[in-house]
Amino acid sequence: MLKVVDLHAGIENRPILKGFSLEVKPGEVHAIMGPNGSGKSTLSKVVAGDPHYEVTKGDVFFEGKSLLGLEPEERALLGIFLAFQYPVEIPGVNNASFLRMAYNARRRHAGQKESDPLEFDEFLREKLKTVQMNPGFINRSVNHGFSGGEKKRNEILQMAVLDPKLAILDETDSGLDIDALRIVAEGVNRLRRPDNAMVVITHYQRLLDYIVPDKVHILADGRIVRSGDKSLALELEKKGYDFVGVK
Amino acid sequence: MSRPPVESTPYRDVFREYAPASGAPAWREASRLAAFHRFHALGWPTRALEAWRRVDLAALDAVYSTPCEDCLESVDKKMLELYFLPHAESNRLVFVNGIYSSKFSQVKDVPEGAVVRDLPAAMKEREAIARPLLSFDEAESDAFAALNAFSFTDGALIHVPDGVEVKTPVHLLFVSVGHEDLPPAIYPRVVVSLGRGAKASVVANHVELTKDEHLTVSAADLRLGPDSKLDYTHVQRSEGSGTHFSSIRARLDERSTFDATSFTHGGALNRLDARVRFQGAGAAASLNGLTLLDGVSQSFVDAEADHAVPGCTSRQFFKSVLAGRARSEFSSLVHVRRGAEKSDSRQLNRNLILSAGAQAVTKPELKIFADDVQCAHGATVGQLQKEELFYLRSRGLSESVAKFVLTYGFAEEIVETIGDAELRGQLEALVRARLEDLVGGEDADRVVA
Repeated sequence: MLKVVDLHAGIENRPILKGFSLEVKPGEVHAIMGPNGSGKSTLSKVVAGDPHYEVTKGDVFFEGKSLLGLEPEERALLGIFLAFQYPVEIPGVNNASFLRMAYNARRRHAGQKESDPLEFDEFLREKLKTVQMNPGFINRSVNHGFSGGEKKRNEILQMAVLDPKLAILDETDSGLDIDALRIVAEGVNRLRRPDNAMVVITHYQRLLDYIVPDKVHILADGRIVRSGDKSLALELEKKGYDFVGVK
Repeated sequence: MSRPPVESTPYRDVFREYAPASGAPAWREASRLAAFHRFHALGWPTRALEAWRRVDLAALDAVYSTPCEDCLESVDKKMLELYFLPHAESNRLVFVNGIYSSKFSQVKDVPEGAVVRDLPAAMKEREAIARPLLSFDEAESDAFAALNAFSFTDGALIHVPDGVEVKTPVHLLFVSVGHEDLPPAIYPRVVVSLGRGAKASVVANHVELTKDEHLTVSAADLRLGPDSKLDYTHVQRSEGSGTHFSSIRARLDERSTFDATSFTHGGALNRLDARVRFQGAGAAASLNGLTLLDGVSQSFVDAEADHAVPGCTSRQFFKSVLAGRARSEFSSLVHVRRGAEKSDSRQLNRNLILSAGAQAVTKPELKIFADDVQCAHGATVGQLQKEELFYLRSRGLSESVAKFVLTYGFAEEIVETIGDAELRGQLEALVRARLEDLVGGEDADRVVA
């Protein structure tokens, strides 16, 4: 589903990813772990198409097609979703309306009929249960004045609504207490299917107690230095990043 | 009501000599005289004054006509209906070029004891109430506010006695129309007085039905008794080249609540001078404002909260969206006087610049002479944030839609504070239509607030 080949990318002439390769198949959950500055967030932004990042070498393929050169919205419409580490607050824009706009953009792209506000409301109420969100949230402005946990839950709500083929969760666990973490992880687990895939980026092993990965990769200085199964994350937790030669 | 002939005199020179208003009662003439003296003591503003340094005062050199009775004939219901507010249908006062139109007005939903009248009628028939409310505040420091106090002949008076609530909002619709050869100069005045525990909601809706030049010097004098609550919305919408000097004065007694929103769109020059004076402890005032400008429109907001007594809360939240070569300036002062402990204030000004030629100046200031206060202020001037755009695009929205949504949301954060749903809907439609022109967004209709 996702194939990253020898990716070199950076921002403002600063190289960050230096030969990153990864292959994710449908139904798989991959965890990418690594210390701060190793390039975890850069990877997520490059795959989602953030125009601030520059790819200097390599390629990113999604379902066999190169993503490079596609606008972020084109990638989203193909079925890629990025749950942001720092979701953006949009005062004045109603959460439900925003979700419906995004949902309908997706439906239009797929040649389906757009959902009217009433239909969508019903659909959204179902999705709210996935992330155990209070219906009151959907009538507030997008992320505006939300707590850290509420913002992350709102990201998972968006994911539930947009039903992506590939979801990248960028440090979705950061800033969450254990209860919020559990709720977010349960939401994510409910969205796991044999025909979709997830890349879970995290600094800590903690999240992987709840979202159990098929594969774990350790990222250091812009490339994967070690890959393994879920036991690698536990080993990392015990021994620290030093054991893979990373400071 | 007459005034010296102005048909050939530049506006600057019209007020050199004092002239009594014919037909005004003696008590009104006394307050006119006081205002005239104050106006002269203050003098016309000049660009030497910091607050007026960037204000183009060319409109003062033009020649204007006096308010015209016959203008009333130049509007019909169809032109006005677009701006009517169904919720306030039964309490609507319409003014055409500053003159009250009984034909288009109706006041049917006023509780016992309350007064909602046009000023000429109130002065004549309710002198005991009108007289103190039309007395001139000699401490007035804005020349245009003094000029309105001297020049007004018409406007609205709203008086709500102790413990009474006027449930139906009062809609004051001031429309301006073109007037023969000369542009008109008009002086709308709004007076609101709330007794102890009284409540009211007032919309002062200034709409230009002409693209021609004209000059509006409006003033609102709002007095909130103890524990009273006033919602006040000031709208200035213009498609043309009008010049508007507006002043709002609110005096708040103990534990009263004042929620005000101003909305400004278009026009050649808009200046809003809004001052809140806390006279009793524990009162709260919130002033929100949105300015939406393009072309060569200019807007100046001068806001002040005077914390003269302890335990009051003031909020100022002003935003501007600027395109073309528009200019906006926000000056704001929160003044916490000696003894005004536990004052709590916030000033926030955000400016969104949509074009290279637009310009915003922001100057929130604090003067604090008391201890144990909480005062915060902030200001931003900038373009849409790239992170915000990427966030929306990553959800499948096109770049133009993402820009539209962010810009609309920026404006909507203020518009959504307007209490009257119908007015809010009208202004949202206006913002949406303008932003579609300015930033595009082919799916704009899908953004519902």
